[in-house]
Amino acid sequence: MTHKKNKSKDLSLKSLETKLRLLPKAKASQTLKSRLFATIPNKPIGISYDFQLKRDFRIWNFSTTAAAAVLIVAFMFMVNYALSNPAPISMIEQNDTSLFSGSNQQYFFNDQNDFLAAMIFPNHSKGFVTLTNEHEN
Amino acid sequence: MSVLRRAERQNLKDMRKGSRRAYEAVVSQHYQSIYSFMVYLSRNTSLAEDLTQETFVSAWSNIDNFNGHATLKTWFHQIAYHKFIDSQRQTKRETDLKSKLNQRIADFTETQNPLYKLMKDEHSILLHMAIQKLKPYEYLLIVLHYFQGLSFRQMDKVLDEPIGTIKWRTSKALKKLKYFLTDRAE
Repeated sequence: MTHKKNKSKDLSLKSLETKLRLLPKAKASQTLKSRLFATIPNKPIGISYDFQLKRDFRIWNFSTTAAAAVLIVAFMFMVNYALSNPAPISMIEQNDTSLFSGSNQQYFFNDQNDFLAAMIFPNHSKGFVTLTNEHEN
Repeated sequence: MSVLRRAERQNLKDMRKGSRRAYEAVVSQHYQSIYSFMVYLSRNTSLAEDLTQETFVSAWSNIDNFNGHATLKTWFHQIAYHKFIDSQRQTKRETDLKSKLNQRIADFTETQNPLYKLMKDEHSILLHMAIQKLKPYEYLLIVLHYFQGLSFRQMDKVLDEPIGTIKWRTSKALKKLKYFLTDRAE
């Protein structure tokens, strides 16, 4: 009894795992093997249409994602470039000092078209915005 | 992502092309393991043979849908397990019908278990008897991990259970086995 008790205490989980792995297994007969060989299909099965679709979808998905990523990076690069190099002001805006000449100081043209119209039709007041002249006050 | 080894991938390719040699190689490699798995589950050699055949037939018809998400061994065990479950549902329906007709159902004694006949010594017999006392799911976990040699990750694919749950329940089943054996010895 004591010997059996000691033996049971020696049964660790590791040794139990080893004993389990060493238990004999059922062996299949040769007739089963022949039966299984007989189930082998004669014609090639080939890849099913569903499987092809799934495979093609995966390829398409990957290509679209890659193209979108490239476009986003290109767009960000362009925006970054545009922000760091602002467009130069037009020649008219740069060189047109007549807007600030003594006689015309009180007038500010809304846009260049109005400026041209004012040149051609001096009495036409469209597009003029009057500024308050501090010196006059 | 494919987990197949190169040889398995090549075999699969050849099988899809219709190479008989590839099919025979796969059968030779896996039929013993699947048969023994079925014997453990069904405890009946002729039923185990039938279920093994059904497993391979089902595998051939689904070979084109197999995308290499698991090894062939895991995949075959997955099919085999589901075939066994289906057969149990069928048996239960027949058993229920028999009991309704008041027919006596033959008692199953452990000595009729084909695995019992394989045990050569007293220790093996004791261990075998202790395993039979486990709950069905615990028994299944012990069979898959220790007899069939599947890893926990592979068992997760066969049983479709979280890997943590499988590990914990397998450990619990092992401790229960130990308790059965030590309790018997005392």
